This record gives sequence, C-alpha cells and structure tokens, in this order.
Amino acid sequence: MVFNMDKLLFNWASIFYTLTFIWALLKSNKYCYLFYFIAIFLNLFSVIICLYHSIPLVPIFQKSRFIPLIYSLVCLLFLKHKHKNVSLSYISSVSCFLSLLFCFFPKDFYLPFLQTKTIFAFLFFICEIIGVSFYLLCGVLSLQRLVSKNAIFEQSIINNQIKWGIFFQTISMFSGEIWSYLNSGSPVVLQDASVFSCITIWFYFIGFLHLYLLKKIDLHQKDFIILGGMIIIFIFFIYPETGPFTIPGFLP
Amino acid sequence: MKNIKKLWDIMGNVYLSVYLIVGIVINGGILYFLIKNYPHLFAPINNIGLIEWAKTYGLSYMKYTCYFFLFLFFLLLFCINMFICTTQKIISIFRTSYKNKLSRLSPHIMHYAVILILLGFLINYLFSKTNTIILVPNIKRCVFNNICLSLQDLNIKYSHTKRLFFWDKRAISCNAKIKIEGFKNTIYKTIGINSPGIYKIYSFHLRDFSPKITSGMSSKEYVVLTVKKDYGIFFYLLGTFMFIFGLLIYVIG
Repeated sequence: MVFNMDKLLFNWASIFYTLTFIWALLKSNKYCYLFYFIAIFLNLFSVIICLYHSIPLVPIFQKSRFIPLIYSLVCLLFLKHKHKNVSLSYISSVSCFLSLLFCFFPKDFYLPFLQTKTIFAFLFFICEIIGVSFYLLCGVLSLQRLVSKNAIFEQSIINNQIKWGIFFQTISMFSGEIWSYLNSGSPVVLQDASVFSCITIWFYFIGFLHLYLLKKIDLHQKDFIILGGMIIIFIFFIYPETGPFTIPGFLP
Repeated sequence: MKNIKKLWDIMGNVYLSVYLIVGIVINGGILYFLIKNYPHLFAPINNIGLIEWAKTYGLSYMKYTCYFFLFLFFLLLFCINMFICTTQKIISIFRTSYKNKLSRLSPHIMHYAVILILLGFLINYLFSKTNTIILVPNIKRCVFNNICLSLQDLNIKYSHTKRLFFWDKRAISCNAKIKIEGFKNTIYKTIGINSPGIYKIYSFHLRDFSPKITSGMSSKEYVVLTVKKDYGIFFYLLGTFMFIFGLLIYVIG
C-alpha cells in the first residue's frame, strides 16, 4: 500500500512534468512554472516516502524516483542564479522524458540490502545522481545552443556545470570506494558492472575538460561531443534503471 | 640519451592523453557489458588476486578477458603520460612567478592523486592476500598460517518497526566480538557490517552472519569473515584525500 502511494505520486509527478513541457512549448511561463513546482513537489513526496521506508538502509534500486527530482532541482538552481536565455522548454523536456520513461518502464522493485547501512552508501547513491544531473543540464544547454545556432551561452558556463558534475561524481566514486573497502576489503568490486559505467561516464567528461589541449575544436563540435555524452549517460546510467513496459496506474 | 629524450616527449604528448582517455571510455563501455553478462569471469579477481586470475580465468577466457587486459594497458600508458605531462607543467609553474600558485597546481595535484590511487589498486590486486572463513562460537580457526580467530560474542539486533515493514523480524545490525591471536599480543575486535576491525595492514570484514531472521526455524550462530592483508590501502587513501583537496581548490578557486 505504502509503496503504491510512492509510485502513484511519482506517476502524477510525471503528468505534471509533461504539462510543464507542453506549456513551456506554448510559451506560457506563468503556468509552466506552476506545473513544474507541482511536479517537483509530488516527486519530492514520493522520494520522501521511499526514504522514510528505507532509512537507515539506502533504496539503491529506486534511483528512478530520484533522477527526475534531482535533475529538476539542479536546473531550478541554475535558472535562479544564471541565465535568462535558457529556455524552460528544453530543461523541462528532459524532466518530462525521464519521468515518463520511468513511469512506463519501471524497474522491478528490489529491497534495499543491509550492506547499504552506511553514510558512504548514501553519498555514493545521491552524489552520482547530482553529478549526472549537472551533465544532463550541460546537454540541454548544448542542444539549445546548437538549435538556436547562436552562441547564447559562453563555453565557460557549460564547463562550470561539467566541473560540478565531475566534483559530485568524484565524491560518489570515492564514497563507493570507501564503502566497498569497509564492506569487503577491496576498494573496487569488479563483479559489479556499475563500476565500469561510472568509469566510462567520468572519463568521458574528464576527456571533455581536456579538449582545450586540442586547439582545433570549435564550439559546435564541443556541443556535439556533449550530446554524445548524453547518449553515454542514457546507455550506462538511465537505461539500466528501466524495466519492462507497464501501463501506469493513477488511482489508489 | 637522445632516444630516452625522444621517448619522454612521445609519452608526454598532450594529444596522447586525449586519445588514451577515448580508449579508456570505449574499453570501459565494452567491459561494462562484459561484466554485466559474465560477472563470474571477473569476480574471482577480488579473492585470488590479479596474477592468479590472469593465469587461470584470464587465459582460459581470453575472448572476453582481453578487454580487461587492454584496459589495464591503457591505464598504464595513461599514468605514464599523466606523470610526464604533470611533471613538465609543475616545473614550468615553479619557474614562473604566478600570484595564485596553489590554484594553478590544483589539476596537477589531482593528476598525481590519480596515479597514487591506481598504484594503490594495482598493489592491492597484485600483492594483497585474502582469506574467507566461517567462525562458530568458541572454535578457533587460523588464516595465513599464524593468525588465529575465534568468535567470542555475537550481538544481532532485529527490526520490529512498522516503518521498515518489509524488514520486519530481520536483522538490522550485527556486532561480532572476535579474539585475534598470532600478533605480539592477543587482541579483541568488535566488527560489524561496514565496520571492519583494522590492525596494522590486516583488516577483518564481516561478510555474512546467522541467524538473520527471528521467526521460523532457528539456525545456528555463525559469522563469515574476510581477512585481508592489504599493502595498497595507504596509497589509495592518500591519493583519495589528495584528489579531494585538489578538486576543492579547482572547483572553488
């Protein structure tokens, strides 16, 4: 019953994420922000219920609830502090896509396990999602810059988001390393494929920050490279969190 | 001497760094799918070490494991390249008088930290020794020929809260008091899940225990321990702290 409530709230949140996207396309800023806040609020409640029934364990298999929420919060923080050029339709399109994806293709429910009962497991879990949310934001900014064909954002703005993404992902990886050491005595558990998904995403964006060494790369090429990063994130981070197609329920 | 200088320049080429990163990304992606589909081929590395694994699983399943060897080769080249590039940059930073030297040094601190971390991992997989044993109360078991362990006390707490209804009557924490003989003095360590006992380069990790559920048929008390003799821990812990220090300066500065 309680887990249904959590799922139900998430399904409703996905409806409001979709409405935000539609209203943003219609350029009605007043309503789209209202819908966005309602969606975030519902998503937040579903996450709180999820955490309430897991703590002190970490709901490590319920990442799909957290990804749209943390991405949206990161975007709101960015919108508050940075540019008015950023279009909410681009930002909300990713929230909408993620929430609908996890709504129609939910992962099977697995119980959290006792080994997650440590702060390092929580940091590993949450910091990875924050890091990837920053990368997704960069993808949105690059896409908007490519579509509008004007350099409406300076590269330094995108680079700063990538730096924060790398910062949080690194904290996540090191927390995972310490967690793994405390649990098994090895800093890397090689039978877990997610180790290599972290490495692949981390090195990709580390590589991006080193592109200045190749002086021939222009802004458009950099945008395409970031969009390539979005494909990598989809394959190694988002797709593993999906399950078989399910028609979502919206009533208790 | 000329050849060494030429090799130094080739290995420290900045273009090589970018190509190696691309190689690591592609190889990491392939390994993700291989480990997802064949975890049993890669899991033994943690227990038997890299050399034994390479001689057995590595050679027997070369079709799949070759990507792991390639990954190690890329990492080795990457470390050499990073060491040369970073050393050259640091020399030039110290030769020039910059106002904010620490901020300029931050990426290079991270580069050296990555080398230390990877060195720590390599030492761990090459030289560390691992032993897994089952302990039942008051029966002594020995590992590495000279360290004898016995389970003195087992304290398991079970969850009874409605909040964790799916965890009802299941163990939520476990503390095992272990007597360790074989060092100069006999020592006692209380260990739990994610809370190992550490003594010098030895660490004692609680991997499993019983009974886990209060209801149903009662099972006997036992704990499964992993005893690890790890020489690499100092390197990767030092590297980790160095990296975080460098990263903080880089992001904030």
